[in-house]
Amino acid sequence: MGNMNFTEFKEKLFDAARKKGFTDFEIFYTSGENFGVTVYRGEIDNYSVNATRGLGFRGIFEGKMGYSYTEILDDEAVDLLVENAKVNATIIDDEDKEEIFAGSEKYSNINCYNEELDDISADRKIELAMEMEKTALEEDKRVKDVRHCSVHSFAVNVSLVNSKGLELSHRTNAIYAMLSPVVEENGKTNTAMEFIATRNLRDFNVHNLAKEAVRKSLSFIGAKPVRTGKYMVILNNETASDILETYSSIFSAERVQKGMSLLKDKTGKMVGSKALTIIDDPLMENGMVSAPFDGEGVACYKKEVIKEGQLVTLLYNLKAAAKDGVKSTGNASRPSYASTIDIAPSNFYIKPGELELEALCQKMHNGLLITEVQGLHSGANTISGDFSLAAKGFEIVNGKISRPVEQITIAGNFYKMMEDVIEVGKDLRFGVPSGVSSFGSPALLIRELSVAGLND
Amino acid sequence: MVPKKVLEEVLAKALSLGGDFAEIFVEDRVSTSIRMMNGSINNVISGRDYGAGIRIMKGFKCVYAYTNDVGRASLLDTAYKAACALKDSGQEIDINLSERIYTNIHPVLYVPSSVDTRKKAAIVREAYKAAKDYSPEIVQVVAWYGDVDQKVLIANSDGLLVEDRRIRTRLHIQSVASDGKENQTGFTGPGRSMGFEMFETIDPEAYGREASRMAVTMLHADLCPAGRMPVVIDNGFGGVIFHEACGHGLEATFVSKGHSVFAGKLGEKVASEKVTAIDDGTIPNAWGSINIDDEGIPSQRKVLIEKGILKGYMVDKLNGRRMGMAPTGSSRRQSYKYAPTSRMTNTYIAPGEDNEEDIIASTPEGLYAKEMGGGSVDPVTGEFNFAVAEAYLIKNGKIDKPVRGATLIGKGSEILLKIDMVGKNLDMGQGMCGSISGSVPTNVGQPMIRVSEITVGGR
Repeated sequence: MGNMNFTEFKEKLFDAARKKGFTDFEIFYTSGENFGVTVYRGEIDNYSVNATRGLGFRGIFEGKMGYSYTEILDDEAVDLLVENAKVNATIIDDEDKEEIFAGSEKYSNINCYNEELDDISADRKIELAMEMEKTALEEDKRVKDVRHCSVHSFAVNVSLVNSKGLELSHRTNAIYAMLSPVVEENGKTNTAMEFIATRNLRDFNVHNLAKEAVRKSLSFIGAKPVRTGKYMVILNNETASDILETYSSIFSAERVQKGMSLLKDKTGKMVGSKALTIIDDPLMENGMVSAPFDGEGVACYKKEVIKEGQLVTLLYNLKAAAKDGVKSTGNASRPSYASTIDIAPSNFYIKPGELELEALCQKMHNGLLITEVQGLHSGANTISGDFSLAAKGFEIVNGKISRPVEQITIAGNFYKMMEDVIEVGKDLRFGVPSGVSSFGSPALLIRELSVAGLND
Repeated sequence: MVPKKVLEEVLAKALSLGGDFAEIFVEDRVSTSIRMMNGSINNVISGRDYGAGIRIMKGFKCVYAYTNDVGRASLLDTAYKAACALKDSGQEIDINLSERIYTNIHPVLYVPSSVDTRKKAAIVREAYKAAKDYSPEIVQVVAWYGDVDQKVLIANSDGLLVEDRRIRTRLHIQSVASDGKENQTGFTGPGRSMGFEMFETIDPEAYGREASRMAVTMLHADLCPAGRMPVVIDNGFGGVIFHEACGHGLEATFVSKGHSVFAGKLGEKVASEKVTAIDDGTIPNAWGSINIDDEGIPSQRKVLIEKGILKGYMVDKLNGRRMGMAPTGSSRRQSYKYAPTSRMTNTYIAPGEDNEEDIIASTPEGLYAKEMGGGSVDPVTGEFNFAVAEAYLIKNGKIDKPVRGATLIGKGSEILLKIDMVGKNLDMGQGMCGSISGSVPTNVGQPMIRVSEITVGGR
């Protein structure tokens, strides 16, 4: 294969693009390494070590932006990239134009790479995974097996280079671990998942992770449904952050402009209760998706999206911002070289309040504490805001956990739920990062959700 | 894609530190997608994914490594890196590959790369326009066209060398209906293992109108009541209930370690005797079909459940070792970036004996789920959930008013036993199924069925 290095390829590609008649163009190039080890019963079950790269090209041909990408960097790829992007540009008939960006005045100098992680050998990661599994198996005699136990790490470098002279690059790495035990009592099995994702080694304690996963799995033993009806509900931090993630697209200005979100004309107005503040912080320290620039090369910055219930701003890329006559908020997303430009949050979270989970339960007095929801990809409609989700958790009686609950659904509407947030806990936690976004929330006390379970 | 001589060298290198089986999967995939919303085509991208994955096994251990650079030096290096994970004593092995060619059972008339992108865009416009013009209440439509042409080469240390080419085409239409305060959606997504000739049998306008019909119907629907009730699930994508409630639990991925409620139950009654379920990757040109799986084994038609009795699992090579079972041509992966594992292809409940009219008429009160959304399952507990995209109440044996926001939940092992009626009108629906080896195209299917009792999540 006549594979070239990046610089050589870039020069050939830019040359070909100019000759083809592109007025402006850009390369988005990522290269990286990832590692993963999964263990099962003290042996390596799966081990993976990979090198990967890809190059996305986009360019303006007769005023329209065309996209193409490749994973192979040879002469044939140069021709294909410019030819495909040209054909694709000619099909576009959108009036709102995408642009190639010349650069922001200033970019924050943030460090998202921890060299210490490079020093953890593959052997050490295997050892950590083995120790983690052992801890889980020995934690309680009801732990029958561990269905999943893995340690992963990655390092990736992102470069953005364009014909307007912009040259940006950013590198990031992280390590993460995941464990899911199978517990059994009286012939009933149960399971739960626990994880850590960090680039801070102090946080990387696989023993605590294993113990917490076992505690979670055991806590559901003997769970039963509750009666169908309306309940006051606490969504624990993980559940709240999962739901926030699912509905985060409603804050995309493009989706609002196209009628896919009900936040049209709501900027500056109250959309949630006073207790609710939502922050997007791309520069957050140890943020799993922190970056100095977005998918279009615009400088990123921290902002309140909702402040004490009031919608402060939507999230913008250049195209959506031009349409609304505002500035980009630096939220152009390009999850991969194989994607086009979209809009997405960065480290996106609900600002924590004062109360511990126990205090929230006391405040609720009677109701449900939901600790797990399933079916978010199907049971939550981001356009209507409606959701109906399989859920697990605990019944709270007189402010205390009374028993575990399973085989119920919780249903409501996200827009309504933002107004129904009575109180926000202090236990902010981020979920497993997904692509260019990472979502976090503390526990939330919600006025009312519908629950389906046992009939009267 | 890679010379035979190099493949042999790479496989030998992969086994040089003690593995007992090595495999290389080389992939060259070109794809195009076109999206139209808000009246204009605003997103078109085409690209080429290219790379190779090397897998080594030793007993139950499995090592996987991939790279984008499929030159000889890079492949040897990748194979060696993977082999090092086994950390065993050296061995020298000669590999002699012998090439096989299997029959292509999914012929393609118009390869996507030979079709003018403007013709593809015209399809998107047709679907968009039909959906948008359906009703003034349709405020937004997202129409999307995608095609994939995936060439694969699979070689392994047993001497197998085989190539395959998978061409698929799909159309998605999502319609949004609004009355200014509330939004509701409808979706259709036909797909086939075909090239552009798919549109000789699939009418983009009809699918566009259907998506909008659902959205408008749901806009005028009341909230679905919550509770346990009998549920009639219609044919086609309704088969997602079997896919989630049972199908995943029959994948060796979960069975081999005992992590499925269906592990160790071969020959036992796991469903009502009305239920026969099949996974068939050989249906010509069906969305979930394959010629060979991603380990190079020809696809099969497998009876999973026959008249309620569990007959078989979907088995891949690695999990087959744990289970002492032969692979069933079920090993699939999203791309070279994933090690393959047992997955579904076209999975459906076979037609039964009941008339569809009788199923509704014999249900005094309940829910009629006409169109299903997606779902998910935890195979360990069998707990599943899925969303109903278009539902109606059944009153006095008749379909009554539409209701929205319904979700069905339950445990797979319990729900299969509660299927008390199975109709005759088998149909399939297309989906993308996500699991540990990535996202793969699968068909779900069934005739109309009735579940005597299921928890309906509503408000």
